[in-house]
Amino acid sequence: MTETRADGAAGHRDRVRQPPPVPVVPIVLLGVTVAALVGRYAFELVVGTNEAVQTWSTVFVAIVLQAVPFLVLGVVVSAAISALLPEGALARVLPRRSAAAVPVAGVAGGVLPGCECASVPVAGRMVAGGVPAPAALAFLLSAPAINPVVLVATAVAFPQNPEMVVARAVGGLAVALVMGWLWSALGRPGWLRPPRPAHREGGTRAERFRTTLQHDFLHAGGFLAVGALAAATLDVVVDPAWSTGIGGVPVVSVLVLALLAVVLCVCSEADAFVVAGLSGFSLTAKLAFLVVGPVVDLKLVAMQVGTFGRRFAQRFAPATFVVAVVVSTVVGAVLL
Amino acid sequence: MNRLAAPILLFVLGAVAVQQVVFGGYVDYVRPGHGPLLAIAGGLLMAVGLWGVGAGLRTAPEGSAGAARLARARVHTRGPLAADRETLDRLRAEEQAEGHDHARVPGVGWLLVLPVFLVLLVPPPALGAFAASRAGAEVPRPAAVATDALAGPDPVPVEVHDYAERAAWDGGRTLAGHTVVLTGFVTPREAGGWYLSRMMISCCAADARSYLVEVVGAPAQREPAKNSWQEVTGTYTPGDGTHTARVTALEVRPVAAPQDPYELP
Repeated sequence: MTETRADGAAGHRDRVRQPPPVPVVPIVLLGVTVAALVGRYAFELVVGTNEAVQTWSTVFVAIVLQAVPFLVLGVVVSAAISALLPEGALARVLPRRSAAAVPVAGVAGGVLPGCECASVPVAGRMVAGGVPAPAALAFLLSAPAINPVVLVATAVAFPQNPEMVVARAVGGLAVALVMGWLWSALGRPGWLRPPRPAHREGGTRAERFRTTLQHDFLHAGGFLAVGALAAATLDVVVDPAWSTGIGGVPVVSVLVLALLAVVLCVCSEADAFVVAGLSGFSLTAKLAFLVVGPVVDLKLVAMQVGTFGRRFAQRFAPATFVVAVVVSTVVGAVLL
Repeated sequence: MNRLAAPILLFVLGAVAVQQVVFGGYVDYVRPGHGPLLAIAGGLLMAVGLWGVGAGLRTAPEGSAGAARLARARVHTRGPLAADRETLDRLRAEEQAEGHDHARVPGVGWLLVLPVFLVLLVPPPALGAFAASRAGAEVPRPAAVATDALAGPDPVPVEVHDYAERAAWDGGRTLAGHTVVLTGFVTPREAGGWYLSRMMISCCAADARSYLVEVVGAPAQREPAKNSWQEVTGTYTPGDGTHTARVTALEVRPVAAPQDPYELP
């Protein structure tokens, strides 16, 4: 009753009396002008030309610029899944039983040639589009770990240990499958808050594609920035010599490099080069770095919080870390 | 904030990426090979941003359907047409559910203004002496030391990381008897003297490794300014630590910072 009155009565005379929209363009122009006029001086006044701050901002900007192309690739795919595929199409391609869907999705992760920034929005849209969560999570973990670009980079970084490439592919895939199966066995629906589906009624397909891309980029990009802030801060604050001298201790060295992978947030396409340069660590410890890095690091956890919610990330990330360390220890003992 | 904010932010981010590639600033942060990818991604973001601004301008006066319904209901605060509290709450919830998700900037997305601000207003310099001095003077262990002879007649230009690796991990075997030319920036040495140094990146500055070569000899006595770029012509000398590198300078002269500040593997 009331609602029809409110709606109907508005139709003929109240359109002109809507509150005016917030004037974004003038605000942005004003902001840009103020920033251009005083930004630099204000910044220098506050932090001066402090070398630590400069290094911090270089690393922060570097992580963001490095990730932008992969993030764009990821959100183009995620927007296409959300707006262009018919509803439920991906779920129909996968086997119905999630025990079987997990390995299919895990292996499918190998075709997305990006790093972890690309796989988060794609996995988010998979869940929103009806793919069972365990399968989407297997994809999320395997895509950055076992795609061809990453494996080639690993081969280049370890010219004398080609078995490292095999160990990495096996380890990365194993973590993805174990986590997928674990989630289907133990996961509760309430833990994972899937992204809202793009509103179907709103406009054309092209318009849905655009709004989903825009939203997913700003959302995942924002959380990427959170992770980059944390990584840059640790890069400047933590003494790089903290890990020297523990390379020889078997179990500790594996844990240390696994933790280093979480903290450093190196792109999975570059991590092999970084760890190859660390002297004094066993190949198994280095494998732990390569297996943990693509599946748990600060920026990835921040993006998981954004896409699937905090209740998800606080369970999933630590579990993934433990599984990744165990898997790399086992794979390392067998293959390396 | 209305529907234009998100497309404008997208456009600005894309524009900054393209600007970095066009004017070459990006090599301070990522490897040069990343440029084309960055330009394509930036161009795409600019295009989607423009598209969104166009679409937003066409629909801006209306706003989302839910927002319009809510606004209409709010107009009448009294009289027979007034909407009751329940209706207002329901319309507000509908508007949130519908309009909130995709047309607006998610709160955390505003953090992306920070890199834009840094790059445009206070562009952070390439990593220098501060970063180089943090990991100590030991040369990172190479996957394989280059064992081929140095290319070209003396004095032969050698990359700093190449020199450091040959010196620290191969006993300088392939360096002995040559006069080399090294280009890098100055990192002061804690125990006195200075290093000629260079960072190597694989992807971006977050994965940088530092290579330090201690410079000794008469021309090195006058210590050049920290972070200044120098060209050192010199000969191989064994370092005193384990896996450290050292060069005896025959000549030290200041040079302009190179186009690409980082060395690549």
